[in-house]
Amino acid sequence: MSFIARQILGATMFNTITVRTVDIFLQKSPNKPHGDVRGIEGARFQVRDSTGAVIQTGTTPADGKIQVQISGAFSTLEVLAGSAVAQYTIKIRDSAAEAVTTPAGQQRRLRMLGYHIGHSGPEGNGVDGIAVPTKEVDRSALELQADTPAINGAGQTNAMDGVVGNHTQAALTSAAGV
Amino acid sequence: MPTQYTVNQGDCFSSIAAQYGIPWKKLWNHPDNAQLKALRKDPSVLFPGDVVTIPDKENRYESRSTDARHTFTKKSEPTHIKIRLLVDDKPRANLPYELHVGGSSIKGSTDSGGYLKADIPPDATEGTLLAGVGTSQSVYTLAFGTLDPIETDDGVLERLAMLGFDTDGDLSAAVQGFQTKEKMTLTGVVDDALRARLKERFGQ
Repeated sequence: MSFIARQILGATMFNTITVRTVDIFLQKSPNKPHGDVRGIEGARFQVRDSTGAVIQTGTTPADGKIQVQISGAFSTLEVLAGSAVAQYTIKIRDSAAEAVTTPAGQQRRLRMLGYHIGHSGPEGNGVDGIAVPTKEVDRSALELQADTPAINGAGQTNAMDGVVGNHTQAALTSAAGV
Repeated sequence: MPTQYTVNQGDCFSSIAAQYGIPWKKLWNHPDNAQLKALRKDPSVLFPGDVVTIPDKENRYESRSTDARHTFTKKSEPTHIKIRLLVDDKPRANLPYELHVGGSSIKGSTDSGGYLKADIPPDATEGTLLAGVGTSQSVYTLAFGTLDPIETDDGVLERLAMLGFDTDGDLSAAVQGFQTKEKMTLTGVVDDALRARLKERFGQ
């Protein structure tokens, strides 16, 4: 809700409403049938603030990229494709995501990209900072390598080994956008 | 006997003046309201519990001939709202909008600075602003007359929230967020310097 004054003293006073946004890409899961064009187009979405009020409505463009408005502590993004509803809670972190060189940073990016990394860690989303290959992350890294033309494409000689080395870190950063 | 009116959330001088049929300037400049005027400085922003003295109406005598029809018009003073829309600190410039107040809707477009100005009835308490078209539309819920004075903690919180700071936690954390962004000394304390900067950024 915005607190707006009724102005009666000329036009010098005004009230500012700032919305903060984060860019979100809605994409199909990264595997071969979808190729490189994975954006989810034409999905209706709405965004609610932390009180449940709808603050934004729209339809996703071809690349699936939307600017989600964040109000207060968090916003909830609801994707309304047909009768199915996907719901995401979106917070703005004041600090950047963990570095891609750390296990936690690799896990968070794999998770954002839709790979299965289990449910360990404090948030129950598999981001626990425990180094690969002690858990599902090595398997997910292997899938990412298989999905990435720069690693698995024609003429590439990088190892498909499930180890998150320099090339795989670059692929993670590029795909996740952070 | 003058009436002592106690301000509720959502009241301002224009809404109270409209309610009693008195021009707001007369109310604002009335000697009995001098103390309140000095305290709040802005007739648009009052705090619940403030007391406004409503003077008695004065009779006005008009002479007209008896053989013709005469029209007397009740003067109603328009009030307006002026809002600046920003997204991540950039103006939402030249953006088409629809403002729904009461039963009517006003269509327009923000200017190059992201400002929009609209006349509203003095007794309107809420409105819905739909901004943008096409793939993304924003919905703003507006509560008119609810902005509290910047001298109060409520007034500071409201302004910080509208500038996009997270005010769900405590005031001090939100103030620090603002101070960080403004490159001010991090104190988390609301003082005159903070109020001045906040007023400048928010516009009132």
